[in-house]
Amino acid sequence: MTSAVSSVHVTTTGFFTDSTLCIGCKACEVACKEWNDVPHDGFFWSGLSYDNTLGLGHSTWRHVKFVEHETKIGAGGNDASYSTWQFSSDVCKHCEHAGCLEACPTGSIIRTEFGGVYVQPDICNGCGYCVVTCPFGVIDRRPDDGRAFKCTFCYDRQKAGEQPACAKACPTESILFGDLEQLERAADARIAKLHAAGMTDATLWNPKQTSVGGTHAFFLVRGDPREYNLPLNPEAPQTLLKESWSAAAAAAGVMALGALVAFAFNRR
Amino acid sequence: MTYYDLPLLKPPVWTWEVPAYFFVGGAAGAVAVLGVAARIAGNDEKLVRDARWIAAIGATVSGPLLVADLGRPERFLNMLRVFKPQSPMSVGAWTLALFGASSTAALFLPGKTLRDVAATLSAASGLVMSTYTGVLIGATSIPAWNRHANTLPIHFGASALGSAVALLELRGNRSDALNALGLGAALFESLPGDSDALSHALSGTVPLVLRLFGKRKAAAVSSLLGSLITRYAWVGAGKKKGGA
Repeated sequence: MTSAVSSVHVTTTGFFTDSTLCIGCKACEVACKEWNDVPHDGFFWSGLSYDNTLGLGHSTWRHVKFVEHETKIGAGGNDASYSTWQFSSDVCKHCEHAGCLEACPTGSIIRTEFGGVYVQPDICNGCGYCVVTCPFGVIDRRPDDGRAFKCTFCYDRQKAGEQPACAKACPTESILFGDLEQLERAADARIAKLHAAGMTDATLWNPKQTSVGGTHAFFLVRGDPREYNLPLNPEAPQTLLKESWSAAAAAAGVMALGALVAFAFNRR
Repeated sequence: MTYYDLPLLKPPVWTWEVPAYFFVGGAAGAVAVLGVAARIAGNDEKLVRDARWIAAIGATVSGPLLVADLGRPERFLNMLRVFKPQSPMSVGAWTLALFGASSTAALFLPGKTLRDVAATLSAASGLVMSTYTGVLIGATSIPAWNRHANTLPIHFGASALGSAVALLELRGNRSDALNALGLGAALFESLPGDSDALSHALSGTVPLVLRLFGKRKAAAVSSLLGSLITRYAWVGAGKKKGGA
């Protein structure tokens, strides 16, 4: 019997989130919660724009940010009497070199056949090491469950040939899902079009030149990406392993040698 | 600059057991090293015996501390499901497994030669035990830790050595070798470093001065306190807002 899965053409997939098309409806947040059965993570009033969620976490895998700007006239700008309002749907970046995946000591976090970074919930023992090795503050441990959670890239839906729930629910195609290379070309075309139309502050964020090696979820935002919690120079913490282990080896060597010499010349 | 100046990074979820383990495991590892050095020199049988007991007890305490910190403690064996050299925690889990097994074997195996072989394995893994926790927190995304990735393992190693000397001295061992190693560790820890002022003094200047005046047991107590406090301070530093 041939497996149905093996006959499916598998490509490396990605998310291209185009903030200039986002209307801040939060349908992606809701669709994600519904499909993945993600529990609520508290109800409180933040006082920060229309955002009471504030960030990605163990129980928020899509998060719509509401960035308020000083008025800028231009394509997509508003009347000068209003401040501008940017929306951007954040998600796990699914790094090419993923700090969490490399650091996971149980092998719970894996790279799927679609190139996504996936936490196997039946393996994770809640050690919390992924939390401090994610360069983006995405993954977190759910206190009442004990395991670490983040966006699964809707691995289950992708396996069934469906697009992730957030992309499916997005009414404006701000969240595009598809073949990673095709999306990157689409993003390049989109930003060229926006720049040509005068929206010169449109920026494509995909840290390919850093040790993260690019992300499978990348973003088009207006203004400084850092305002959207997209750091300019994220680093995979594994770049520090060599110097840190070298220091450990030097310390261990001095300790061993010191102990041998001290006891060789010992007097009680 | 971040979104509404909210911290970009998530703070560590580790609770008190983790720095406690850093202290116990580090000290036990360094004790195993001193035990084997004394065994090779062959001039202090009591110290060798004490070292093997302290190493085994430390290893026995270390496991439960780490298991207790897990979100799913019943799945602790998943730590030994794979070996990933690129993950300091995976290296640490396997090292602790080897350290625990060999430290216990060094006490209970039949035959002196077998026990010596086990003790040597215990010392070899002990060298990793006393230093790798610096790599564990150094090679992360937390700025308060990763800025010190190349010094934390040395600091943890030196303070583990100070603790090891202290534990053996408090067990009534008094020797020039221990004192010299205690002096060395205290001298290194008294050099300008990145640790908080309290643990810097307790593991550096204070025991250094006390040893110069011959107050070895007081120096030992100070070193132990400093070694414990510095690990709590370092883990705590990573939990501050934004890990900055």
